[in-house]
Amino acid sequence: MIAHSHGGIDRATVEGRVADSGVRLTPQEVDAVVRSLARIQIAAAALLQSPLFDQTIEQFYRLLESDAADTADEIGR
Amino acid sequence: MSDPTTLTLREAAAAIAQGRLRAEALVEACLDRVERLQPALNCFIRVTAEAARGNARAADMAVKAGHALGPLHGVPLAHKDMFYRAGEICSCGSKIRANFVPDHTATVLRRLDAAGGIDLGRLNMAEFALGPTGHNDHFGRCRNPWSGDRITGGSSSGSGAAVAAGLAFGALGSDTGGSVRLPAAACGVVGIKPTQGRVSRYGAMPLSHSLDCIGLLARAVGDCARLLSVIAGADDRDGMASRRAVPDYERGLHDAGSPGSLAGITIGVPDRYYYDGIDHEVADLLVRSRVVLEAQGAKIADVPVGDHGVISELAGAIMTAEGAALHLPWLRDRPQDYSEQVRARLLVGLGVSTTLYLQALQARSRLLDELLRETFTKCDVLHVPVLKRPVPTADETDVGGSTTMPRVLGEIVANTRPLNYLGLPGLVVPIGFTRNGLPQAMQLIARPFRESLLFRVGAAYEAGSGGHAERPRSLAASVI
Repeated sequence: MIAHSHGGIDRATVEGRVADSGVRLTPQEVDAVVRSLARIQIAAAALLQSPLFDQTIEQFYRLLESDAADTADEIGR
Repeated sequence: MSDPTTLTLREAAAAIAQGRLRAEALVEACLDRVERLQPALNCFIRVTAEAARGNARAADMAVKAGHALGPLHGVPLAHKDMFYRAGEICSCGSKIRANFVPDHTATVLRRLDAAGGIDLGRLNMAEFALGPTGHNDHFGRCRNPWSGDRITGGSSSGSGAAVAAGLAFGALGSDTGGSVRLPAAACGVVGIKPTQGRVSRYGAMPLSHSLDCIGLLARAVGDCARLLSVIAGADDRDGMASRRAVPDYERGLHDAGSPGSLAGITIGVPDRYYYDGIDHEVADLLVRSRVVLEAQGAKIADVPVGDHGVISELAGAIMTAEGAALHLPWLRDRPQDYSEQVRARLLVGLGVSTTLYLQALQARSRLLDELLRETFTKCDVLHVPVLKRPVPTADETDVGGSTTMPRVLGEIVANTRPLNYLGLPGLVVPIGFTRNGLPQAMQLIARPFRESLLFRVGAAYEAGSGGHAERPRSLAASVI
């Protein structure tokens, strides 16, 4: 079993979250989940520092569509 | 005609439309190959031979009668077993859905049918499309036609193997983290992952609604272009499908081989991440592929990109969280019916916090915007590897639910997953072989909805490098 806190991920919190879902995990499975979450957490810490307040999820889809409209006629594409 | 299965999809369609080839003969030729090669490849889950024969006879009668013909008239296709057809079993590569019979038909299947495609059956895949290698504990591992001990890539494993081996002229796949592009690369065929929203997902098995994308595999760039022209476009049954008009993706491909066809196009080589730690043999092939593009008139330039390694991790968080939510009832009640590896991947999603999940989604617009402003203002197309190393063996990647499994699988999808997060289109084109005889590929990436440009560059590469994807040489002896 891995340490109580692994890469900023609190094992007890993860265990509680999984227990709330109703899915039963072995201690080894919890270990593997904690390790994966630690990797994700490092990525999140690096990328999610800037404020996200005005960045709504649908803004992503608007950007996909609007970029296509803005650049549609360039170099005969 | 000697062996009609060696034609490209577009050549086969033209031969049928002009009366030089009967659809029935072509379907029989493909079914004959399925019968001979299925025991070795295990790429089909179900063959619908009689329905295919009936549809082929009808296709031939339509040609004789002078009816208007669709762009795929009489062409044999086969598809990953996750696209619903009303009344027919759709296993999703799983034990849990082994007897699932949907009551509706996927929009993509309807469109392929309407274009005249002949459906040969359903193809093997990773269980619930969760796995980048081609392993499947329930239906058996799909084998790479170039070498049976190597992975096919996944999750659209059967799509890659069947198209590469000439059992079908094209196949649907799905791509949530690389599931079209990886098998295309590992099996030596062309694969397109379109822009997020370009293709309707109605009637396709869901995995991660933020990242799922329907794509295609075929043996030539022009074949993928034709297939995408057929399946793309708005769909009243899928509110997330873009209403943007669908261009004729084949337009402009006829002069792809002419000198200077890529003049004015800049191919960008990322200055970090995508090439980090690449195997030297693979790197050499990629350099040579850029020389071909340069000879066609393209300019090659180093361009900056952000740290897409962290983007890949965020994509993983989104995929596992959304996947776990979909699978929660079965994870609770039928845990024993999942393979170890698939269950282990889904369990990660149960631990992702709601806040992290939503922030990962929120950050997509900023990260896409950065890439468009800082990278795609300096180039038109990005050129990156799909795999950074030669295609691995099945044993190397058969890691079950071990503790190293997420890392090993993470390495395989490292160069494909960022595109799903960013929503961008990616085209995979074969570029040659490593010393182990396995194919390698380049991945071309463009701005949103720029699939036409990708096809243009891919077709120019094909023309400049001597033609479309080869058929596996190792198969010749076993078939002839």
